[in-house]
Amino acid sequence: MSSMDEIRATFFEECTELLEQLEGGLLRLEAGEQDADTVDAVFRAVHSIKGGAGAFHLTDLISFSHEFETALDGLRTGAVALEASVVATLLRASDRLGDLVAKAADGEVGDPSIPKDLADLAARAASGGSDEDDDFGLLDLPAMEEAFTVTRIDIDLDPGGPNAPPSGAAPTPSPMKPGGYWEICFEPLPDLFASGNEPLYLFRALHVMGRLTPRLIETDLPTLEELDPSQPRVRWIIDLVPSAPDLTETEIESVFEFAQDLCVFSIAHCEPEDPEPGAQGTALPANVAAGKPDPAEAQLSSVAPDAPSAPAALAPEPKPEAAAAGKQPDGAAPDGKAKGGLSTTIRVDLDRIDRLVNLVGELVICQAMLTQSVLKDGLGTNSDSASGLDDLQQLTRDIQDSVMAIRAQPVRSLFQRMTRIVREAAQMTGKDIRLETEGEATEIDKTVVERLSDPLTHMIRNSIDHGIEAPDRRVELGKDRVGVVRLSARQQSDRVVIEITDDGRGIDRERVLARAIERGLVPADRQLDPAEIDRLLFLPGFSTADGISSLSGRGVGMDVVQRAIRDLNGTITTQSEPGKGSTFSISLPLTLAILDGMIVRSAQQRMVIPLAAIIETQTLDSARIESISPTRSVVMLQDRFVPLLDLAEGMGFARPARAEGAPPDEDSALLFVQPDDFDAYALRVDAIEAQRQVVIKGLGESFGRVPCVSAATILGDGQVALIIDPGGLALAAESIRSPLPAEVQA
Amino acid sequence: MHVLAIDDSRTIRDMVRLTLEREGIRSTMAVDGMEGLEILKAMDPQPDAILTDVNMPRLDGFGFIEAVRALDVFAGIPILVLTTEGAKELKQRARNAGATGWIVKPFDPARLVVALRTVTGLR
Repeated sequence: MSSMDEIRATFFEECTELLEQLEGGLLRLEAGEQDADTVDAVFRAVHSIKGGAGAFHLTDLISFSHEFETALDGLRTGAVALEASVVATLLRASDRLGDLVAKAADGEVGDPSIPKDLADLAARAASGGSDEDDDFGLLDLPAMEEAFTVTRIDIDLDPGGPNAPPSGAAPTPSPMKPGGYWEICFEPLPDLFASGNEPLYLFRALHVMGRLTPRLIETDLPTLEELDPSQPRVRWIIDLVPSAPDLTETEIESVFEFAQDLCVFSIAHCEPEDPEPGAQGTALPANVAAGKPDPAEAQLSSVAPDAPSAPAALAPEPKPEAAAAGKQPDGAAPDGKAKGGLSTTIRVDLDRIDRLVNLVGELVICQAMLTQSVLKDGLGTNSDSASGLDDLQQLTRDIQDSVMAIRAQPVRSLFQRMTRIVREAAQMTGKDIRLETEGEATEIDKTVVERLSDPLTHMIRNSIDHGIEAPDRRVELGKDRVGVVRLSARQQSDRVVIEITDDGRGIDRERVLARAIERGLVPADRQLDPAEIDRLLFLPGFSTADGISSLSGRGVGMDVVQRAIRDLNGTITTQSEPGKGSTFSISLPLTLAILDGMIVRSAQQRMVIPLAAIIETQTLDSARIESISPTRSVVMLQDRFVPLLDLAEGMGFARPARAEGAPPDEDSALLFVQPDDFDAYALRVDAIEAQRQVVIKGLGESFGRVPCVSAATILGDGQVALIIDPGGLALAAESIRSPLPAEVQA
Repeated sequence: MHVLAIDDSRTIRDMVRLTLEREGIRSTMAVDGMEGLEILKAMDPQPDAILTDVNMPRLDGFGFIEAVRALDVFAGIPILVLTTEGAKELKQRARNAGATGWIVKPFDPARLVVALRTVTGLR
C-alpha cells in the first residue's frame, strides 16, 4: 500500500469517527443540550470531512459537506435557530453524508444532490450574514471543484488588496534578453517583523533565482537612542540577474507573497541597454524612479508615528494566555475524553494487536504443555518447578486478560449507529419511536462490536415493524403514542448481555405456531409451551410477515441473526408478554479468543464441546436409554426423552472395530447439550477428559465452513482438537432434526 | 528543518507529515492549539516554523497564534495558517493575530514546502 493509499484509508477511518461525533452531537442538540461547544463540535466534524474530501477530489462529498457546513454555520452565528425541525433536517443530512462517505470509500460517486430542506437551511444561514464564509459560500460548484484540486494552490496573503492567484493570468514578460535583470524595491512596513516574516530569508529565496546586487537605503534610520529594533526603518533596492532566462515576475512575486500586505514592493524589468545597476536616476523604469519610492516614503512617514510600538503590537488586546486558559474548561473536547493537554491514547494497527493476542494464545498453550511435561517427569506439585509454573500460569492469565482488554471497545458507537436505524424504520413505518439506550460504556471485543451491527439492525427493524403497534392503535390500547425500543448492555461475569426490548404487542404465539405448522416445521398435533413457540422464530425459513414489508421482510430471518450471534460464540433468547412487548437477549463472551470447553474423547479423537451448550452430564450406565427404531435411540433427561447421538457417528468418524457383545467402554458418558435453536439432545462420548479454557484457533480459510465444527484448538500436549458446534451437529443429524414420534413425548 | 504542525484532522496531519518527510523535513504533530502550545513550549530547540489549522477544538488557530506571539521567545517564529477557508475576513484575523502566511487546503505539497523554505530561510 502506498503512503497515499494509507492516508486515504486513514481519511475514511477518521470519517467514521467524525460521523459518530456529528451524530452524537446532533442527538445531544435534539435532546436539548444546546450549548455552543456542541454546535462547534458538530460544525468541526463536517468541516474536517470536507477538508479531507478536498484532498482526494471527492467532489460529491465536498459539495454536500460544504452545504451542510454552511447550514451548521447558521447555528453558530445565530442566523438559524435551533428548532426541532432544524435538528431533524441536520440529522437527515448527517445520514446522507454517511451514505456519501460510504460510497466514496467504495470508490463510487454518491448522489450529490442537496436535499431541499438542507438547501433552504443553508440559504437561511448564508442570508443571516455569516461574516466568515461569505465569498466562499457564493462559489459555484465548478469553481469550487477547481479550488479543491490538489494540483493548484491558492496562497493569498493580501487581505486588503486584489487577490492575484500565483498561477494567475498576469501577462508574463517575454523571455529576458541576455544581460537583462529585475529591479526589486522592497520596503518593510512596521508590522512585518511581528508577523514572523524575515527580510533576510526572503532575500535568500531570491538568491536561489540568480545573482543579487542589493542596495540598502538607510536614510530614514534614526539615531541609536531613538532606534526601536522591532521597527523596520530601511528599504532595499535589489537587482536580480536571473540564472534562468525565463524567470517570471510572478515567480519573484511569489517570494514576497507572505509579506505583500506588510511591505511596499515593486518589480521592474530592466533591459541590458539600461544603465548599469547601481546608477540610480533618470534611466530607471518610470514607475520605480518617479512613482513607487515616493508614495512609499509618504506612507512610511504617515504610518510610522501612528503605528503601535513593538511591545504593544506583540501583545494584542485580549490577553491571549488568559483567553487560552479561559477556553480550556468549557472548550474541552465535548466527549470529555481528552483531558489535560496531551492525548492519552495511541493508535495501533489492529493487526499488531491480533498478532499479540495470537502470541499470548500460544503462550497459554506452551505454558499448559510445560505444566503437563513437568508433572509427567515426576516433579511433584510441591516442587519448586511446579510452584514456579503456578506463578507463570497466573502471569499468563493476567497477560491474556490485559491483551484482551486492548481489543475491548465500548458498545457506544454501535448503539449510536442504531439511532439512525430506528429513525429510518420509524419513518418508513409511520410509527413514532423513541430509542432508549443504557450501558453504552460496556466494553466488548472490537470484532464483536463490529459483527453485532447487522444482527442488531435486523432485530431493531423487526421490533419496530412487527412489535410496535401503529400510533393510533397504541392510543386505542391506552399506551403512549410513542413506542419505545430499549437497547441495553451490561456485563455479567465473563459475558456481556445485550438486550433489545420493545413495548409493543409481544410475540403472537398463535400465529407463530400456525405458521410453523403450515411450513411443516412442527407436527400439527404438537403441544408446545410458550418458550418453545418463541424458539420457532429462529428456525430457518420461518417468517411471520404475511406480506413482504419494505422494512424487515428482506428474506433474512431470525435464523440468520442467530447464526451471526452463534458465530460469535453467543446465544440469543427471547421473552415476550402479549400486549406488553418482547425482549431479545444476546449473551456474548467477552473475548473471541478463549472458550470454556469440555474436552471429550470419541473414536480416539479428542474434541471440545463448548461448556455453554452443556446442560447436564451422565455416566452411560446410569442413563435410561430406549431404542425406538434400529437407528434411533432416546434417553431420559429429567422427565422427558431426548434424542441420542453418538458423537463419533455424528462427526462421521470410523470407530475401530470392537468385538461383538463387548461391554461398552466404562468411561462412556452422555453429555446433554442444548443448542440455541434446537431442543436438547444427548451426545454419547467415549470419555470426558477435562474441563478447560481453550484458545480458539480458526480452521484457516482453505477449509471454508465445516459443518459441525466451529473452530479448533491446541491442547496442552500439543495435539489439535476440533471444537464442536452442537447446533451444527444437530442440524446435520437426521435423527435429531426430525421430531420424535408422539408416543415418546410423554 | 523542523516544523510543528497542528491540525485536528488525522488525515491532514498524515498528509503534512508525508509531504514534509519526503523533503527530509522533520515534523512534530499536535491535535489542537492547546496541545500545540504545550508542545511548542517544551520543544528544545524551537521548531523552525509552525503550520496550523484554524478550526480546532479547545484552542483554535487564531487563539494559538496570539498566544505564541504574546511570548517574546516565539515572536520571530514563522507561522503558516493551513485551512480550507479562503475568506478575506479570516485571513485578516490570522494576520492580526500574527500569522506569517496563509495556505489554502487542499495544499499542493510542493508549494507548501517552498513556502516553508521561504519563511524559514532554510533549504
